[in-house]
Amino acid sequence: MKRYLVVALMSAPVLFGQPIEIKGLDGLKAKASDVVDVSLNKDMLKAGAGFLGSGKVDDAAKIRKLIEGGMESIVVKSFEFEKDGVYTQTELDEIARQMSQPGWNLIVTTTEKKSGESTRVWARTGTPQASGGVRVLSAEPKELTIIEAIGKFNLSDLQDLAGLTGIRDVTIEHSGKKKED
Amino acid sequence: MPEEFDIERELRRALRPVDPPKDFSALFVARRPVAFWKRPAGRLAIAASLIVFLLVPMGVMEERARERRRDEKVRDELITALRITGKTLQKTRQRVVRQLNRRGSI
Repeated sequence: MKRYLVVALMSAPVLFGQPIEIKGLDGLKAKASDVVDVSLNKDMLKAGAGFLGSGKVDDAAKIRKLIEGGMESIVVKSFEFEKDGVYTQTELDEIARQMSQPGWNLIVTTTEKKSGESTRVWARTGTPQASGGVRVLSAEPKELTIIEAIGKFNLSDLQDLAGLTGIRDVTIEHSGKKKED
Repeated sequence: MPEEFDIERELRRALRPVDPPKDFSALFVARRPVAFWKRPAGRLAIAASLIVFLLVPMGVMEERARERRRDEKVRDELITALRITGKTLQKTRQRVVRQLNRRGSI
């Protein structure tokens, strides 16, 4: 018993550091017309940010600031459907149940019956074992989005990136230089 | 009694002129050193070198292209993830504000 306790305590930081995994999304993926499933760890965030443009006041600079400021990982699972009612409230509640893990506190819940939109936001305070972060479950009749962002960052900085455009046209050159078209 | 060893006679016998065999010239020509690139093994080595010199840069270019595609993919995923996150947080904020407005808290 004591041995199991030691193993559990030793594995706790590792488990806390793992990105969110939601089971049972295959059905939604199959029914969605557009799926985005992205999971980027710290190294990938840095690599991605390294190949953005070099402007100081543009979106690329905002992204770099966010990542250099302490963002550690981001997971985004987004499903767009062609018609309403593709997913059920039961499926939504099951996803919410999986997102509501120990250490994550539900801080925002919104439900709009008229539009059929709802939001749940969980937050985790940083500890020596695990970094702080935020989880969002946003549901609309034709769209379902699951987000987990871990690390130190300002939510308003993330909000500012809603309109990211135009920085995709950056030519990556492996001589160490990046050239904007 | 054994025959007495006559060194002079033995030397003369050993050094006597001997006619070469009839095919000696052909044998000599055949054993003459042939240029490296004319030998089958040499040609094979040159062909192998050419292939290596062509394939190695092609491999390096292919590897760089693969790295570039991977980096572009990560960059695109990063932009997509942040755009969706930003958009979702904006919507969340709007919903919270609407909800508070309905309750008359603002």
